[in-house]
Amino acid sequence: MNPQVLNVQSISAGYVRGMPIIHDISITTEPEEIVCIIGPNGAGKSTLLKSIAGLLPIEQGHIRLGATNISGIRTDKLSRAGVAMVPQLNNIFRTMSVEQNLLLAARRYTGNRRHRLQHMLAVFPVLDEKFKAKAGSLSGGQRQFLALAMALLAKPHLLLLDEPSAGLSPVAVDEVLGMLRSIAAEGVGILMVEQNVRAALPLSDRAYILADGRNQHEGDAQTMLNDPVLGEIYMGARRAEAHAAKPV
Amino acid sequence: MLQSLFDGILVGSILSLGAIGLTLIMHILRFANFSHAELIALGAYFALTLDAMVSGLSATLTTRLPHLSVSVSLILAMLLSLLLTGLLAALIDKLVFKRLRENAGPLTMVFASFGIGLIVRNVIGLIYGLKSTHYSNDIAFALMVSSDPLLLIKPDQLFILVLTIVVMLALHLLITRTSIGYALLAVSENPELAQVNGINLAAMIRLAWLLGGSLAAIAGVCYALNNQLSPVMGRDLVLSLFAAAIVGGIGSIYGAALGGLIVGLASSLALLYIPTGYKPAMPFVIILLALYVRPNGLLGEER
Amino acid sequence: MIGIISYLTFFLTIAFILAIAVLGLNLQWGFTGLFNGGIVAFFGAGAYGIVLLGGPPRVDGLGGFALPYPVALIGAILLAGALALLVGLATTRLRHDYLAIATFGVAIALETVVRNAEYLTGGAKGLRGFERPFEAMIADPFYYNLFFLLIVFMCVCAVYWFLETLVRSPFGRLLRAVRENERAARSLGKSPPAIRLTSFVLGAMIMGLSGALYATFYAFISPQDLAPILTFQIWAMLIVGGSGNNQGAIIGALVVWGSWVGSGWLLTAVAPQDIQLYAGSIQYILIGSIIVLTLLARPKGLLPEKLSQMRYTMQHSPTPGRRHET
Repeated sequence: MNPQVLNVQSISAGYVRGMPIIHDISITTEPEEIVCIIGPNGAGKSTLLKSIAGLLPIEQGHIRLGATNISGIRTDKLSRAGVAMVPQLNNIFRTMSVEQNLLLAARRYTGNRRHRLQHMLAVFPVLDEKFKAKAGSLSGGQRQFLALAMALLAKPHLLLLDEPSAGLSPVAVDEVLGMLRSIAAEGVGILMVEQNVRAALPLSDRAYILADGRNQHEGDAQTMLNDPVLGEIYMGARRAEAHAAKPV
Repeated sequence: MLQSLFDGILVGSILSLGAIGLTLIMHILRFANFSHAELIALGAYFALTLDAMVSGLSATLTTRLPHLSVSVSLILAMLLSLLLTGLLAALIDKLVFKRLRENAGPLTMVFASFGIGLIVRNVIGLIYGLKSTHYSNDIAFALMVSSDPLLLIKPDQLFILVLTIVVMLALHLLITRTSIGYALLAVSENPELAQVNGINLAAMIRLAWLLGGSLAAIAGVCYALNNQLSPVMGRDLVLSLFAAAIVGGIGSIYGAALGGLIVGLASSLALLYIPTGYKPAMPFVIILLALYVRPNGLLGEER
Repeated sequence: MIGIISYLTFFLTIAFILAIAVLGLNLQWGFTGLFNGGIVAFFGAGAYGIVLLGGPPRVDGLGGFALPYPVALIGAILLAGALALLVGLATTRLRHDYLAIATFGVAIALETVVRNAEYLTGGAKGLRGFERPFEAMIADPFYYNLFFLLIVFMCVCAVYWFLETLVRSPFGRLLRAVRENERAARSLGKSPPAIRLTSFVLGAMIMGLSGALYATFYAFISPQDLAPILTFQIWAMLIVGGSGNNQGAIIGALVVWGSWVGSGWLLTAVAPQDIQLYAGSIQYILIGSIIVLTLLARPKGLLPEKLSQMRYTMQHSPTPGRRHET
């Protein structure tokens, strides 16, 4: 078995034991693949991501990365198993400098940290420019780049992204999401939760639709984008909303 | 006026040391620890006992430092005491607070901290007696630095000031230059994100208790040198510590240091205008002002 | 026999007066989840309030307005409520433990004022009260004390009835909603800070009533009566009885006050002379241990509120630091 395939099998999880928010959910993500999870507010998308990351207790089912069982893993050991996560919005340490943020994240990397850091600064040149600045002073897009760089410093096999476009301007959304293809091309599987379906689906390979905490549909992202019925049911309102939600 | 300024800075620097641990725990574990000030008393009394033990080892250790009432053995005792107090703080967390945060909520921890404070304070009273005492019975004479405006300074007070500055510089270096320092800053800003970035939260919580307890112990020895040791010293300081943490902004280490100075200075300067008897109410007035005017504190973030 | 009965009367009077304060705390902590770290302040506001308003005119200071007893009583209760409003307005919008700090502070501030503002409060000497209601009609102190116990008991019943009615009313359901799930309450269009503030002020007024009865009974009040340990005693009474349960609160008051008086008596009766000096410390350690051990062993007390299983978990579920700590 390829060691990098994420295999989530029928998990149920939630904030309080005995009151699961997601039920019997199964998904997979392969290396170099971008998988998008979409669905209405409160469908359990973030809950799913958090339970994969070990931030929430799993009540049923199991999660494997390759041959390793990572269900209920302690979050701080996640990177050792090859998983990195970029949480939604508050995903950088605002009171610390860009440098401190990166050095902190680099602690997880077992190889040559200096080289890894140089590599990341080459991938995200804007971080090199702002190296000594307070992370809290960065723009929305720059923050997201910093968060991505922090996650990638650990050289993960799998990257979990929770709403990477949240709170970004349309230009920044394109910039941030535009990075994902090249990241995946380096052999990283990307599992992302995204409300902005119109921006996310075109660059995804596959997508899952979640509603009421359950798998509703799975398929090829491009097909889904063009499917009139699915578009009507799951994306019609979303599309309008996504436009309305974009900051002017 | 000048004297009040000096006294305020002196007391303020001691409060700063005590408030740093308080603000860290208050932010990371999200509860106001009313027993934190008792760690100050414990640190001071541990040093008293250890001083007696250490000075029993060799007569040379009882030599006083030039001009000070502080002996070599007291300095050794303080170092041992800060270790012991830090460990005890971590132990109390393991025995009580950790269990409560797993089974109940933050307010239950606040509640328990009241009980622990009461127990610790009275156990100290049982063991050491209810009367206040001093590390040294020698009378330390103050030097008149200036006669108009009047400024009297005891050598011990300069020692305290230098010590607190050194400790705060060391802490500054720890959190800005070492990766364990970054990790502590990270946990105090966003515990969940810190875990995502590979930081062991449980280990950092232990570190926060160790650090908070150690700083409290140093504050305790300094306070006892400047005033006296008394079983109720923790109770007398607790409100000032909260005032320092709130004025500075909960979770901010620099805020706590700044808040301590502000509370120390304000309490000292206020005595120029109000009768001494009202002094214990000053921290409450400061807290209320801060909560009405700037609830996130000077260096705290909006939450 | 008369001696025992008169002692029992005295004991029950104090226990029931304290039970009223426990009921006030139950409204704040048990039903709303508000931590009051300075019960003694609101108790003290009621106690000093009634003596200042109802007491005989003073020659050496302000106060002693000799108002009719019911007017003075209401004034005392309002004074406690005003004090609660001062700290409540500053804190009920903020993190929940800020209220704990502010109430702890207001208790210290009140004690400071009471000790120092001699012109108003008599300072350390305290204030003399006034002739107790109907004392002239019942001359025999023994019967008068029985009569006073009856009044206090009726007050306990009235407060108990008031709280039981309150928690069953729509407002009571709001309190529960705010305590258990702040977000849900907000989504109902209710302002949780306003609900918390109302509950806090009401609870403080009940504590004020307790203090007013205390000062009436002794016809005297001094800073000694406002020792910080009172806050701990009231707390211990509530959690021993089970927070969120009004009957439990009253039983807790009787049990803890009984243990307090009993242990004090035992320590003075049997302990050697040199330990007697430390009797207070030993009692304080006992009270502290009761609080910590009850919280550890049974976070919900002896008679927990029914249907409150989800209480803590719902309220605090996404607490950082709760997971991954072993």
